[in-house]
Amino acid sequence: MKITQDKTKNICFLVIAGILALCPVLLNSGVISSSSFVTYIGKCICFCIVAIGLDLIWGYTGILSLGHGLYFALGAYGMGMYLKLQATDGQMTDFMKTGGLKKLPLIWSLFRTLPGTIVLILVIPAGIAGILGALIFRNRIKGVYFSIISQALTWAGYSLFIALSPYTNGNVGITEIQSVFGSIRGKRHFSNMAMLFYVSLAVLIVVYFLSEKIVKSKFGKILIAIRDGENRTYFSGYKVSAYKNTIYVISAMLAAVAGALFINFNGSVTPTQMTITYSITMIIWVAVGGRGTILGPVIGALLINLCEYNLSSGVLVDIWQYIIGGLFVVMILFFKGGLMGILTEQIPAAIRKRKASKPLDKEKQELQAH
Amino acid sequence: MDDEARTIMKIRRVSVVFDGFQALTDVTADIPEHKISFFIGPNGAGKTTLLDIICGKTRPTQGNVRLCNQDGTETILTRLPEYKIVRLGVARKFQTPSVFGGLSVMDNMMLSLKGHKSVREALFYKMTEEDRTLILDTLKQVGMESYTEERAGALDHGHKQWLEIAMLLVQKPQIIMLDEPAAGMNKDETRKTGDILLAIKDRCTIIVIEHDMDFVRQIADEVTVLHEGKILVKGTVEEALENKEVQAVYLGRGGEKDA
Repeated sequence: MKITQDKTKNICFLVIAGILALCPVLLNSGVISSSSFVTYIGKCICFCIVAIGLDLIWGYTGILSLGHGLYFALGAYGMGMYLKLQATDGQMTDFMKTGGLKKLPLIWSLFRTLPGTIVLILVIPAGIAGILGALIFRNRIKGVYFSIISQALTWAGYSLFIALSPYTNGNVGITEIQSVFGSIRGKRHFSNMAMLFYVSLAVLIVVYFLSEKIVKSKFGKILIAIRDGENRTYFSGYKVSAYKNTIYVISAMLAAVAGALFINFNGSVTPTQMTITYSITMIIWVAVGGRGTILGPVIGALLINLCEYNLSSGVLVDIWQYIIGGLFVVMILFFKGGLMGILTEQIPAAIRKRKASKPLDKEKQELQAH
Repeated sequence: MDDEARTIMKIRRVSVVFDGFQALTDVTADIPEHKISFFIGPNGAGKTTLLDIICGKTRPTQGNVRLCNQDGTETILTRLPEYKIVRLGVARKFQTPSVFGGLSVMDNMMLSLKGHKSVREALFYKMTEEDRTLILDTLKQVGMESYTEERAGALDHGHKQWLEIAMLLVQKPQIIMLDEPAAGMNKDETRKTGDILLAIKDRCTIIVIEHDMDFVRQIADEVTVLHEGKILVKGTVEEALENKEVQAVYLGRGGEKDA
């Protein structure tokens, strides 16, 4: 039963991926008229990746991080700087000159090549998460205290990126950049856009199955064990902090990958991505989709963002934030498993109950008839 | 009783102070190998604190606990983190059943196996036939071999307790510590728990904290009575229960009728 359920989830994911894959095709054949919609779906794919990463640490390990926007933004800034340097031929950018820098800072000079950029996009967030995690988890800081620290960290990042204006262009962020494949705006650049879209989708598919593999392994079961009984896990001989730290690093790296892909679609990154609102929005995707499954966050991220695309521009624009907030509260209070939980547990349970009570009803009727 | 039993663990002059409250005072005891040693005493006597000290959850203010290895050397447990103490073969069961509710009984057992505890090993671990046999054999000892695919969180109280005992056994520990294993069990379940412990004592040493006197009479080799953080009496069940001081301590508190 459990195995068939896992299979169903994977098939479900592949169907979703298949539908996503059709988007550029539909655009090309004219069924979808707006290319900005397809760009938006591209961004949603990135959101799915960060949501999976968040779920690994929250849904599976039970650690609520309210600061993944930091890692998302780090990935975006890294990739953004590479793209910017492409435009300036590896020379200083305008904002650096305005900021009074004499030459390209060493840290950014490492982002001149794509391979270097990709490595750093993974290594820098991993390093930061690894060091912070080591300090936090070794000292057994957990629960709400961890959440608060993670939130403070993303604020610290936000302030730092604004303060280091000559290096990061402060409030404005890195703007006016093209994707790795060149411009993706408009019908003329359809092939660039399609290429970027499919690369991102491929990354999502790899991340999905890799995460499935992680959670099905003994490592994944230890994560669940930590969530269900941290004490018992210690007393089963596991160095819990090492496990927490590993999953924190993996999840930070996924957020960075998502950020790096995102900026290709978005064309800019600003420190807003490091605000708390942004990190909490990510949490909502996971909560609504269903934590503790890999499929849940994918569905949550897609669904909420598609709703936002369709609803937040019309009459609902003023109350959209309230709807999202309300949905989050309802989910947390009544549907801990999110949509996935409703589909795989609550509905089957309701059906079973119905089936079980039916014969009883009959008996009652018969009794009354007599 | 065989008096030649080797001492496997030495508790030496252990004192614990929590914010001025003296939870344990100068507790010294030797734990004999392959025996079932009980620590009994009224609430607040410091029994659970003593287990906390041995397994590394709490650090003593003074004194230490030493594990006597087969080769005659001694390892000081009170300086090690809990996961290292576990790896030395000192396992503990908590008072409330603490199994991994979201996982199957099989997975609960798999995680409790000895070895493969590092992150890297865990990522690439594959269960061997040998491990599977060991798990099934251990589950059989507690009468749960047919429960492998059940979700641990859905088991009833008794089965959770037995599963947790099985999780300790599968680590092949030298010492097993149980904190009120019979709490919340009915008479039959308590007896079954006692039988399980009697069956395993030739393979490991067992330390138990308990209130239920029938359970103590059923299986205890040795009883140590703690009161207000100090050792009151040490001896066989009869010796301990006939002791006037012990009776006063229990009866003076409104009494557990069995004592």
